[in-house]
Amino acid sequence: MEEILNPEVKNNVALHNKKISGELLEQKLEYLKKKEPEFYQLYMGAGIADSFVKMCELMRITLTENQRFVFFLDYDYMLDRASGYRFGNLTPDYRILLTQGLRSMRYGKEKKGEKFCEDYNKIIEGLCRLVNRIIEKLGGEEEEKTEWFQRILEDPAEHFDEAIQRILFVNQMLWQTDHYLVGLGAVDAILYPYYQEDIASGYMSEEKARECLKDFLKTLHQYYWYKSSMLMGDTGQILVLGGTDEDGNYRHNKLTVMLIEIVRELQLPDPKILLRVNRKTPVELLTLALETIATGVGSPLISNDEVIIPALTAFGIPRKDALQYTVSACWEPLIGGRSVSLNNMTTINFMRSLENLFRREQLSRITDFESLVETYLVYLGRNLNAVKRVVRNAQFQYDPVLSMFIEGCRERKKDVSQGGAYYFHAGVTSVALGNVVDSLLNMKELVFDTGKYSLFDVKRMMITDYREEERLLRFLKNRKRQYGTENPEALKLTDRIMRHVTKETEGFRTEYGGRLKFGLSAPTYIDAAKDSFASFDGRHAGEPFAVHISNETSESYTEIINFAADLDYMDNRFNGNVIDFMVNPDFLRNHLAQFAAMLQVGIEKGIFQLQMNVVSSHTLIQAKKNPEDFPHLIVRVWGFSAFFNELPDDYKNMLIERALRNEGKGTAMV
Amino acid sequence: MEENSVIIRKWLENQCDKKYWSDYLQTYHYSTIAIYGCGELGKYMARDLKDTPVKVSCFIDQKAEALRNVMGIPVLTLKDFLSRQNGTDAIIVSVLRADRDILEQVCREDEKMPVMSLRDMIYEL
Repeated sequence: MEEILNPEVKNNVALHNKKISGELLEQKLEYLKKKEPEFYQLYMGAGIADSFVKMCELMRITLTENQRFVFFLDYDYMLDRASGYRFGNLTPDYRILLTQGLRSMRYGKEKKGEKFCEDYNKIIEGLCRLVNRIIEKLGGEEEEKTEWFQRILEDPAEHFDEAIQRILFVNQMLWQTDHYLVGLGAVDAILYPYYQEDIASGYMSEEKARECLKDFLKTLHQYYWYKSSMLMGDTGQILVLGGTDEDGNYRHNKLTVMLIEIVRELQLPDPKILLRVNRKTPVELLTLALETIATGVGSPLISNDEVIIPALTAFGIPRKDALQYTVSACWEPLIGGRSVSLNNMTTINFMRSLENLFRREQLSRITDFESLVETYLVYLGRNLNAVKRVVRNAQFQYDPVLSMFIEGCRERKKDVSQGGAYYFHAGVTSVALGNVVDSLLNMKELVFDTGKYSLFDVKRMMITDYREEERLLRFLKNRKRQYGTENPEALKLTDRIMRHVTKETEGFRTEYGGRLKFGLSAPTYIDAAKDSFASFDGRHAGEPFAVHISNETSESYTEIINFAADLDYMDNRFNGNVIDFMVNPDFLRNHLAQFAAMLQVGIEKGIFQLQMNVVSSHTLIQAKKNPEDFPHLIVRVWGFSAFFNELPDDYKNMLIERALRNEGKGTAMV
Repeated sequence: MEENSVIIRKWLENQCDKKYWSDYLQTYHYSTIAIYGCGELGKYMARDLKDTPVKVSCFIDQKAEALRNVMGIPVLTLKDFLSRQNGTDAIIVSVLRADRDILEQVCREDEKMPVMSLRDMIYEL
């Protein structure tokens, strides 16, 4: 197991694969059984609080030389066997431990006998023991760090660097207890008071603050392979910067700028940034964001407060909280620190409903386009029943560790799994709406308007993957897609389908009364498509679906911006709606001012979110052929950045296809 | 085998929630169905539909010649079934490991015959 303890380990992909396959867990259990039978017994049978205390006593403390901050994980003692749906994709409230010491968080003796309170106190006891062990390990040699940890026990954080250390400590404990996709939250806003005070008092220079932030991000990048969830790079370590204040003005500070500059300088895919913007965001900040994206680092993702805050408040979230929104791992708005809304519980696959229609329906009954769409919506409703079922049946694991860092739990004396947080809604993502809209519009033209084909012909093509219909396939593949353009029919149809999902889901409630929301972005555009039939937009069976809100066949970026801005994201349709651009690096660099202006217009008109892949097809093709020449090439996948070389081939191929299309070079099987 | 047990769990869940195949199939206006596959799941389905408004006209199975009749229901090959049909509204595929191939095969032989997979339906009730 020693290789796993070394954060500088080079063979990230191999280790990640072992983790995903469960091989590491098996190895660990064998190791514990032999070496730590007492912990093994606790781990397999006792409550999570007792196991946690024991873990804090036993886990190895790794101090890395010349590293400004303490951060370590010990894979052998990960608490990853609790039963039920794991909590992840969340951002804890780091301020809870910034504003007080551990011991002042305890419940008093009068709460004895209440299980949650007792477990909560045990978790604090475990953390105190670990802190004392760290102090002991520091051995008095590193005075500053020793003081930071001594103060964690009793007092609030005093300084900027100390506050960063506390954030890292909370973050470390959440990873150590097997939470996945742990977000960082509004780091610029959280740290700014410490920064201001330290600069004003002369405790720290601006340059030192910048160095601290740089080390903070580098430290977070450690254990990248372990933190990665389904794909390398999918760590969920997102910093949410900027925002809107109570008067509707834009708020940001020096740390906002510093953090973006550091991400640009470090050129690491993780951690990543989301920049909240509104119509008053200074053009200089937008330009800095675009310059950073232009380096190819894939970050920041732009998130529009003008649309998101009204959507959150209309959903019933008080404006005070809506103003503080962060996001889950990629893009789904989340009231960080106060919410355990799991925003990615499953995916609505819009294409599945269309496939079901063609397999199951008496197609001869469908005589016009309107009845086709109506029937599609009936099938979509049935699919949504399956989605609701997945959400309804989720049983969450008891989690007093997370409950310590989510507001509401301590006051209500309730665990996050039992409705302790202020918000516990459920979110689902969606995939293939663009493919469905294009398929339906093609059927309108070729079946109902011109009568060239029957619905039975369409069914045969879908199921036989266009066997003996190569000409039609080429025709459909090469024509301009309508989803993501200014075609009013495409917009109207998209809107109609989205509203139907709302109609079918708005009455849904989880066990604790949480509501269901959805959005038009999903990480499943490759996996969900693998067992799909061909579709009538010229997509072969098993080929990936369109990515988020995108259209590589459109000649103009403004067209997609206008399309996305015209969609209505209110009611429950706000669980992440990302425009995803492929942009040639030279093109972006040469048109930076125009892109900034376009972004400003998009923000005013009402786009929801936007992200970009800035890379050429040439670079991607070369990197696939000669990976050793491109060790640091970063691309944007799902809602995160990743090293191109560490992605599976189907992701590489898809990026190449998209880049080729975007450059007007058509498609090429790679 | 693991997939079978997931399906059976979901089946039990449906029963507890009082969600029945016959009600579901009637939302499609199906009154007579054929079940593709007379293994464990296919037979459960036929039992479930007994004495309901949805009738099972036959099983479809590659081993039809050997089986001939299961639970008093005739077993036909796909070819024989498609040549007779006898007013059957849809085929329900209960063979999980090959449902996609069967869907394609049915469509090739008779594009008008609706066909559904038990694997998808079980979640939609």
